[in-house]
Amino acid sequence: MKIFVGIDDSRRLDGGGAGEIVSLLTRTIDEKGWGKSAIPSRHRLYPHPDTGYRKHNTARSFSAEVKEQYMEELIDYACVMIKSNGTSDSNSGLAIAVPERMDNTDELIDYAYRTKETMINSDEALAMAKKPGLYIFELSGNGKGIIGALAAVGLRMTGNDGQFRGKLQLGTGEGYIATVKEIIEKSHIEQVKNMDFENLGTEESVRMGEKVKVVLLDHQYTLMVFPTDRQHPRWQTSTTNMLRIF
Amino acid sequence: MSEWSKNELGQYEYAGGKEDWEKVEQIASLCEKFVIDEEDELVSDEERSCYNCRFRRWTKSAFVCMRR
Repeated sequence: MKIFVGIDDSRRLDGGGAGEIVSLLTRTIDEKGWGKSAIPSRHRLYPHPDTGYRKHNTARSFSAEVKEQYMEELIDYACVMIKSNGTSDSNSGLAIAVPERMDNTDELIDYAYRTKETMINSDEALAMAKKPGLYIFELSGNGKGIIGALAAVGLRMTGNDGQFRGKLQLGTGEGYIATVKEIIEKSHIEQVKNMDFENLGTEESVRMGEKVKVVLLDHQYTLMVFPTDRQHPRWQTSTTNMLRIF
Repeated sequence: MSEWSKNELGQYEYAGGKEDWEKVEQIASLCEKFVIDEEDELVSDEERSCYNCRFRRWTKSAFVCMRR
């Protein structure tokens, strides 16, 4: 069955790691044969003062196809791993959604979008968790980690938010020119869009930049590009700065 | 005008907002405490920038430096 997993960003101040933790969890799911995970994504949330001064206003998420009999083991493992990577002052949380058990995904998606625009309290997240198909775990601190964890689940579920972990490598790397067709055939990219969110045709050419990031749009792995103002290649992969909106 | 203002918690918040790219590059170039954040937290093309630092925490208008 398909699940969406959200993890609050509860890293130590001088430690690394929220992205690494979620990557480790996806690898474990695959290696233990519990199921197959998609690439994790990072989602930006509202920079509320309580969070802004202590931690990042981001949360991580991924989707996975898991075998139902391994769900309990997966949850236990995730809880232990997230707890062990936190500190006494972190407020970490885990959320899992099982869409096929949910009556209505719209409420979760509405909640998730609001976490980007305004402050949400943990009571609202707890109320959401009483609905079928949603499971949340307050793992440390004041329990506020569930707000971001649940938001990440909802944002991933929209199929239109967040940036994927890792960088796209194609051909010889920076400076390599590929057609959209080649990009789609030789990588996990499913569509290429310009910054006006228009899809490029398969014969359009794109120059790969130094750090090529992939975003989630239309439920697809999406490569964003901008015009070079030349005939060939007409497009270049969008920069880190341009992609900060995701 | 100072580049930093103190918030109610006594922490230093950058006064230049979130689009002051060149200035925060200059500040980071002189900062001994700069540590680059995880790659999926980066927002500036110039790596050494306060906007990319592990010790910045975004606020509504800019960011707080946790190492000042």
